[in-house]
Amino acid sequence: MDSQKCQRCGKAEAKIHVTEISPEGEKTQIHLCDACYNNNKESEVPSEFSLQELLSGIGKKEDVPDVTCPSCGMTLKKFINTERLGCANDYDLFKENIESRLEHFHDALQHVGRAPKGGTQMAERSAYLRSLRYQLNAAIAEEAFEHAARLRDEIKVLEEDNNSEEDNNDA
Amino acid sequence: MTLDDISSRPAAWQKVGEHNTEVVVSTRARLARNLAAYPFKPRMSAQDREQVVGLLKDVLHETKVITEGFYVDMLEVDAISRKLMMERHLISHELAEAVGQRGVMVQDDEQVSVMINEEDHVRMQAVASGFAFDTAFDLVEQCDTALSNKLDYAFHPKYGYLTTCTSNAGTGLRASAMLHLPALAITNELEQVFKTISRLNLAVRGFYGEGSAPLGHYYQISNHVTLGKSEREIIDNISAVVAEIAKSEKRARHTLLTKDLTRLSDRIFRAKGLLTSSRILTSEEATVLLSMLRLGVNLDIVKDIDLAKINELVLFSQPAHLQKREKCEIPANERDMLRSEYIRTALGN
Repeated sequence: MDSQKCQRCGKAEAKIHVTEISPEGEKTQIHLCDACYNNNKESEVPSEFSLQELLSGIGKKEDVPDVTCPSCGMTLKKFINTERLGCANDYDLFKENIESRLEHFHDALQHVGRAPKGGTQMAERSAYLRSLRYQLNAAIAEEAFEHAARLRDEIKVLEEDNNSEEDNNDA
Repeated sequence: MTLDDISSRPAAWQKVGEHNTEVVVSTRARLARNLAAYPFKPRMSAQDREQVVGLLKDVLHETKVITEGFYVDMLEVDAISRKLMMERHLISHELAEAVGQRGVMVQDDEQVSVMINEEDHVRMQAVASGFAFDTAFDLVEQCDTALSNKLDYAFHPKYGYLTTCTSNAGTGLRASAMLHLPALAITNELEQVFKTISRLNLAVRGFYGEGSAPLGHYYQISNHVTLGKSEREIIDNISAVVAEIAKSEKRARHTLLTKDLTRLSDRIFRAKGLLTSSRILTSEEATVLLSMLRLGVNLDIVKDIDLAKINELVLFSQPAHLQKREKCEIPANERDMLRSEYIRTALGN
């Protein structure tokens, strides 16, 4: 039997097949992958079964308010679905989810080992650069070209500062 | 040096002689890094990807991390070339099949390579033949230090080097070894070995890494944990485990030699027979047969073939290598005939 693709995202294999029967007795079948089914569930009218599930704790499937990163646009929901992060800032923004994963996978939360030289000032500047880039991409997409040009200039200045600092470090 | 130049010579990790390569075929160390000033791969725009590629190429040249090497742009090479690089363990499946600006800088001798815009911005790796974790790690550490002098990495005082996937955060170090374990397979001890490996927080995969099946009794063992242990601890841990497994394999080989020589020889010479006489060989079958032949050579049961030749056969009979030789795309069934012809000729038939 050929594996069917999810009707929602069209990418993953459809593992869950939901049959809905209308009051008139008409049947419709929907084929979804795990991720899309879980997303779908949230928006459904609660029935006695989901109340049951909530009581037994299955609702711990991270029904949290969504959070969006100002530096890259990644949302908590998207991260949970894809297990991939959008930028360095996400590690702090999604701290709870991140730490539970780190603990589960590595059984540790504190890095031990090599570290690059350079302090938090560089890190803060880089975070700012990232958010500028994100805003630049958004401005281009909205065709706000004047705004985009100003952002580009600001990015350029910051990058030049970075470069001259690194050259000074080398000397 | 270009991709075409290297496609007809043995890979870096196939050099025989320096370290014993009978059980531990090769060792690899890989470091994953992201640049602080750009979003991670999932949120990169096309322009971001282009800039990161440009930046890294410049810095790699400037720092002479790779003194003599060549860059391969994944957007400019065909599918066969990408597969060829995968067969030579220079790039991952992810880099080959992803979209957008990405590539790999390869040192001429293929010992060091740096992937750009794979799952993370930078994935540098060093490969050494045989059991040589320190060699591989030293090389990749040098690369990392040189790059960090010029680039600002995404780093967190608590979580370490920040990666797209939390499974790589911390040291970003994946140390792995490719082991050939035919005797343990024959004596049915492999299950036990793998149970031990996973209890020790190590991962086992087939010949081509993530998602591949074990062919020819080649297994890739790597560390699972990257956070909370130093690079030194990770290397020492996996070294110790690999050494133990290699000992077990050697012991199993000795057992087969002393207790079951006839049956063992039979298996080996049947494999040799098929390799020297078949007219059609799929790559799966060739891998399995060559694995037996390799065992025969290691145990001195097969005396007229050397290890270097086996390594050559294993590599050059792979699908992309065969097609590169013929300089054109060839359908699978024709490849299978070509493969058998190549192997027959190479073995003197």
